[in-house]
Amino acid sequence: MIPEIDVQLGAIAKSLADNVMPIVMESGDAMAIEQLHLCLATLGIVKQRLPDLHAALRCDLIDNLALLTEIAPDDSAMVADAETMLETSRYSAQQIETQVRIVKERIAALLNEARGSAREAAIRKSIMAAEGVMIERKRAWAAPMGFEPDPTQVTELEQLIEKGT
Amino acid sequence: MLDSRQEPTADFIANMQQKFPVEPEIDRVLTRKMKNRAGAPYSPVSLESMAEHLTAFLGGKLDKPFAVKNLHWMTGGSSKLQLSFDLNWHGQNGGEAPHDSAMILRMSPAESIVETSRRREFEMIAALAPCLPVPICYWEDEDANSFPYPALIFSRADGVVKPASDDSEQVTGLGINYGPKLRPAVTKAFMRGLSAMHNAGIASMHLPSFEIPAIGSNIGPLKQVATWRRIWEEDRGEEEPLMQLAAGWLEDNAPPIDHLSVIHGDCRSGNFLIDGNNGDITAWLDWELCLIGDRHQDLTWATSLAYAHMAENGETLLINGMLPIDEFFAAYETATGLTVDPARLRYYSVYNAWVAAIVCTATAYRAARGSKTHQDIVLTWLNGIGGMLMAQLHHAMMEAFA
Repeated sequence: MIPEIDVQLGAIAKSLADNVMPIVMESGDAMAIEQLHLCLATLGIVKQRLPDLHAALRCDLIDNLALLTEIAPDDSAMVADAETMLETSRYSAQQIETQVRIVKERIAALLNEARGSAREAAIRKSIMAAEGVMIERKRAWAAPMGFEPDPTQVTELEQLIEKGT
Repeated sequence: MLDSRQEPTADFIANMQQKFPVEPEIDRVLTRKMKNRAGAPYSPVSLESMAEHLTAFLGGKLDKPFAVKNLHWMTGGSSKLQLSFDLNWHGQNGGEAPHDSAMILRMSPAESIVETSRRREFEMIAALAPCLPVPICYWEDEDANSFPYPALIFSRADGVVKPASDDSEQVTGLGINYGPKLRPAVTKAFMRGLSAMHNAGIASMHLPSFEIPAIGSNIGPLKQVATWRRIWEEDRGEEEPLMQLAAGWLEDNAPPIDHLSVIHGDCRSGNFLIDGNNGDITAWLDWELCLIGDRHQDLTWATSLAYAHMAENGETLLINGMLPIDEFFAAYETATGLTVDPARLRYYSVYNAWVAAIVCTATAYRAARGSKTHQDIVLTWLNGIGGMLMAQLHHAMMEAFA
């Protein structure tokens, strides 16, 4: 087997916490202490979220593709590319992320092209409606980072992914 | 996917300048950022090297003998490098008996979570000194003639960012809990500070690096929107349709300014020091986003969820760690004698949520991606607040569209 990334990340965190942190704490260097704490916290988030990355990006692509299809049903080439990617398992998380970015660029461009026209209100409405669940996933992804004043308001990421895929 | 923002061409930079007309000093700073983007990442500057730069700089400013003592790096903040030191000197004009003054050297890294002008910061702090507790500004080196990056030197004020009773470990002063004992005094001092800023006599202030917008016109607010549109275009890692939607709405609905105020620009708990014993504010800090504009900008900035926390009863959300939102606005009106206009509140709620999302999702990402700061790990951590800020923007826009 190739080295398991989850185990490697865990080993890095343990090494830093058990062996590096005491020395840094002893040094009294406030910036080094703060940054080491953040490094460990970031490692924890990465370790926790890495298994969900592919599925979360697929959800993003599904939702953005649905939005694009709604506001520009004639954008067939881009829609076909994104659909192919969703139907084929060989695409990596990075490839899906790139496709998400392409679709989002297109949606924003369509919105800007429609500025001042009769279509603008309809596109705005579609974007506002579609963004809700996508934002919810972003919040859920980062919930363990502790920024939310009321974490009980944030749905678990696993539930959102389950619903989205 | 080609990322034209990481290594911008001259055409890309010129296009940004042409497409988004902004204040001249802001244009200078943003253009410098883009020209330097493909250049070297930030590499640590040693304390010894900083001591040499500082001594050489002071040698050029002071005629009488001086000595730099206790130079050390400070923590806190997500943006600028800060060094604390004591200067033994004869005062700025050389006419005083030798004495020690506690000072701070604040320096931009190669790129930052907000790319701003040390010169504007210097001018504003100096101009506000007669009416607000602020540090004493001594010198600026915006053109980085003496330091590795643009720098500012000011006095080190007494006080703490948060009381000892607050054991939260969140970065950069977010969600500070002043506790029930100090909370009323901090709130009162905060409102008093807002009154000084928002009622400042701008006509008599020396602010050559600022444009003063006209009352009754929305050109000033539109220029601010153009500034942040430009920053979004220069820094973002990916497009967000909601951000474009907000930008368009902000352009279409910019209200004329009814009263000129000094706007702090990052007006919130964590950006002032308090006396830990009585809760009085000893110094307002972090003026890098300051401008002349509409008071509702500061007022709504402080109401972000990022700076709120639940009260001891577990039910009441305390805005800025101070008051429930309606009481917060009422306290402002009482303290300042200025009105709170619900329509402008709605506008600036969208504006501020949009700006905060740009800072945390676009600029923080871009600076860390280029390894441009001493705090890249903090910037990537702040990236995580993006979802909450986008939710806030979405909510503010829902209300605006209703």
